[in-house]
Amino acid sequence: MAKAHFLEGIDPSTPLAAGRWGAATATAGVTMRRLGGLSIASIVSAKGAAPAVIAAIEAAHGLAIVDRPEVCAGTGLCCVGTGPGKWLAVAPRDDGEAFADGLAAAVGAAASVNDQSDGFVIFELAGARIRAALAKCLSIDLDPPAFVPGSAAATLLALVGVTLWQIDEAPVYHLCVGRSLTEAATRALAAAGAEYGFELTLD
Amino acid sequence: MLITCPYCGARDAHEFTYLGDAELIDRPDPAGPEAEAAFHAHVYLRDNPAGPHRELWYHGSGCRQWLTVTRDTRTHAIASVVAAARPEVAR
Repeated sequence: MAKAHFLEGIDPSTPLAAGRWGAATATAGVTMRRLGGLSIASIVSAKGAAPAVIAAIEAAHGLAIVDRPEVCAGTGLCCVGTGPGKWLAVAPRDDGEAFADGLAAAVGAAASVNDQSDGFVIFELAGARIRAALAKCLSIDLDPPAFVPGSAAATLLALVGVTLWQIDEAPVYHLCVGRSLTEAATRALAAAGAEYGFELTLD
Repeated sequence: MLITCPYCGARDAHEFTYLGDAELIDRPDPAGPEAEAAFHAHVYLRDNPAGPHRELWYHGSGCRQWLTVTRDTRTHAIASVVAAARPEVAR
């Protein structure tokens, strides 16, 4: 009997189930874990008000954020630069609306803050071959020093708009995807990572 | 073709949407002299240069800002990329 192709079972017509996919390697070369219990909010500065937003976030949360494509992580709050005067704020709490309200109160009229917890899903991407897999679906340079821990990018992953940022040297990345596009992004990464062994965790 | 976005860095042209001549930024004064002729030119008349061209690109799959790109239409060599927002109203 012919050996099963490593893409077998990665069927575009059904949601990808949690577990091992692709090559039966001893350890998965690429792992993708859905992160739960997060609140996500968008912060968009009013014209000319980005410095005021940065000062307000520092005063309220003690976190010095920057107006560049970088991630600034503090205790209980992480801000990812997505555009000039724009950030994605992420916190490990499950009351998204109250989280956005708290941020809105802190920045006042300097920015528009909206709860995006229902709209986005964040995944943790890791594994020894994660860069090789991402190279097949991302068109940005992820090798250091072009992309290092703390770097962030709003870009396309297999034609899906995503925000990606690097957590550590390993490398471990966090990937923020629109909720209705998570299946497309998951399957693209599963196909890209299949030859290295792919593991999906959906806790 | 790579466009070096001032916020995101070098990105593939597929992340951007092309609008056209950057002259569109400079809207004529409706109260000025020859306003009708100036608006006709603003709305309808475009140069089609073989050489450097100032044009508007939207980085829709990245930082979502409008950019003014100076591109040579013969070689696609890009001489400059700046945010299209006027400095006095930009961040």
